[in-house]
Amino acid sequence: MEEKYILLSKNFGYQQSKLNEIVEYTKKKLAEKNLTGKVAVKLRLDNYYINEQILLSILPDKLHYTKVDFKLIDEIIDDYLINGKIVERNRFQCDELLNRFFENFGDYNYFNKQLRLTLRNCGIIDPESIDDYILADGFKALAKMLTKMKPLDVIEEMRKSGLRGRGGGGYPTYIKWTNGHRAKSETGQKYIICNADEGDPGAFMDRSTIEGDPFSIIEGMAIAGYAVGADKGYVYIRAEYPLAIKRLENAIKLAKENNFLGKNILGTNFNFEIDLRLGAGAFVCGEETALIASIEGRRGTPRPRPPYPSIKGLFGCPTVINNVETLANVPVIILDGGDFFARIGTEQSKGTKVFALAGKVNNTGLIEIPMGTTIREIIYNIGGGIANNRKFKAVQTGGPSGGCIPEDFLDTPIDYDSLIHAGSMMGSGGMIVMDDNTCMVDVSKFFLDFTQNESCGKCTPCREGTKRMLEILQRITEGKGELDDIEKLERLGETIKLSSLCGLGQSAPNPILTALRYFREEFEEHIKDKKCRAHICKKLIEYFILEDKCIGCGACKRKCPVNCISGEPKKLHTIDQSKCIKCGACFETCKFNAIIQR
Amino acid sequence: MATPLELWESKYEKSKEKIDNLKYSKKFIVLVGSATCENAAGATKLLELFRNKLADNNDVYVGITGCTGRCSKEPIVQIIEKGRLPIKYCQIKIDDVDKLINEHIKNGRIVNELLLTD
Repeated sequence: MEEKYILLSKNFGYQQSKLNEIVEYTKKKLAEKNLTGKVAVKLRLDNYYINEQILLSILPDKLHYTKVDFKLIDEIIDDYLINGKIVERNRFQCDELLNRFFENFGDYNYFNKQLRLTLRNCGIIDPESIDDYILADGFKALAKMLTKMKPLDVIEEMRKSGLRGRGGGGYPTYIKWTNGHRAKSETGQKYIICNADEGDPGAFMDRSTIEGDPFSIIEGMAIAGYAVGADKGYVYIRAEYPLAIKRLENAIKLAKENNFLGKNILGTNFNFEIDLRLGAGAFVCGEETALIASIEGRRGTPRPRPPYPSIKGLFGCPTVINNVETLANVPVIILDGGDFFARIGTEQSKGTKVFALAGKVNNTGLIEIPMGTTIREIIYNIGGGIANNRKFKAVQTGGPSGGCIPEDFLDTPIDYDSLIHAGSMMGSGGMIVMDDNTCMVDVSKFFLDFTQNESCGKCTPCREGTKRMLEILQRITEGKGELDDIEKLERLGETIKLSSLCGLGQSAPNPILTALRYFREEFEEHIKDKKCRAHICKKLIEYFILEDKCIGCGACKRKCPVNCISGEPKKLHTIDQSKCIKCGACFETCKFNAIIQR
Repeated sequence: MATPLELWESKYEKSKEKIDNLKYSKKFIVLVGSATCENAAGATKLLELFRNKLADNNDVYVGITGCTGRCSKEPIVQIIEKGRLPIKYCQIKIDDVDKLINEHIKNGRIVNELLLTD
């Protein structure tokens, strides 16, 4: 293992070929000086921080250089690496932010392709120690704001940043804040709510963020409170996240002791308190009006908007609701400026996005990438490709509100609008990769089953419509589908989208509608040919014993729970299809690959 | 009257002193991943083992950190030796703890077969 790393990256937009030349030169030079094996050259994602072309860092020494050229490489290798004399030319004292995540970067491809703003402290600081957070410049944004900024300055900084809500909808955060700021409250009371009711199957970004860096949420909420004029905040968090709750409670207690929360924060007249409210696990409570109802102690069902919560929300007072990830980004924007934040990402979607990468990829995990990264880069570079060398089939984003994107769209850049264009949505950030062993009808059924279960029942289209759609899908997977089922699904889906009360119903048909758009032939196969090409839909599979491979050992016969396999010892066995329950026990038992699915 | 930023700076100095004494003055920092996912993969027991076995070693700080996002490689244990590149070990089992302590911490030898490599 090497002792040092030379970490190279270029400024966003700068020529790749120049960077490649520098990399080659550095490697050659290191080899000449017999340093290969002691010093490794690594590449990092484009650098968004400094407008100085090619950047170089030496780790673990944390020496940083800008305007890197061949001559500087010579100096660094000859003077520093060989003779130990630090090169001062073009050296810069690193911006603190850049310094933060060096413990993670440098040595692993997985991290080098990421840009971590939301997760800047996750996996680095001790989430239970406020001192660790302060050392990572924690609460500095709050202090800076209270020293130098008025509420409208904060909102202006948010506008410049271009931050859009990370809960899925992508509504510009500054507009919510402006509306909350302007709204008149009869009692003068306003509220900030942090929506940590993360319920998408396979999504765990909010849990990891809170467990790894709870203080940043608190800081983000306090900043929002100052901008909006609220002195009270609630974190609405699932009761299923006990560790996140414990860490958050601990963080609130420590922040209070250190006067970052409570009365007269840091000697000013700004007051802000935070309380937790635990959700009982209803998916619909992630919808803002249902969430408010739940905090008020009522049944968690949505209500029609307007009035929007920023005008009339919790207990009738103006309320700004932001997602965990949105709030975690706030301190970065205040500390480093909206302009810095707006440099990252695409025209319409700024900053980074955290994804929970799951499914059939080699490296599953939590990743954070700048907006505009393509799906292909995520799956093949960070995710390390499809597991078991299988073939990519689709990627599901946006959870039960999103859709499946097929191979043709792999080069879609990740941003709010491109994903909607591809028929899916950003959602909260679940990303499930599927290989060719996946049946799209079955996947559609899975997500619809979820939303159907979670439908609160208040409005008919969602309550009844999703139920009917699920019945049709159930029928198709059992081989009882009819030819007009596809049309029925489409018609029902469109109607539910148009007429449901809240986001849950309005987006519930999305997984089916996109599957129909891109994988229609699979639905048709299920209906017409009664075949499931991925061998997932049990009722459509037949197990069959191959004559030339069966040696008549009888293992399958003994395993079969319904005794539908017959055959003399050492002779060909057969399966009675009329009795077979398709449990697959024989298939798994056979050591001679004599049993096939078809 | 001190401004909020000045108050923050004095807090920063205090935190720095505290953390320097606790953590950064030590020759080794052992960080065990601690989050619901890490704990489910067995990190709680690892943390306890590291704490017990290194309790009277004044050169080492044993602490926790959140999850680094490597779900498929958990539990992750980082060992940071002062002035050297931080090392991450993955999928650490209870039996590996002694090896990490004896090889890496006591002898300064990196345990290659347990390294997180990609």
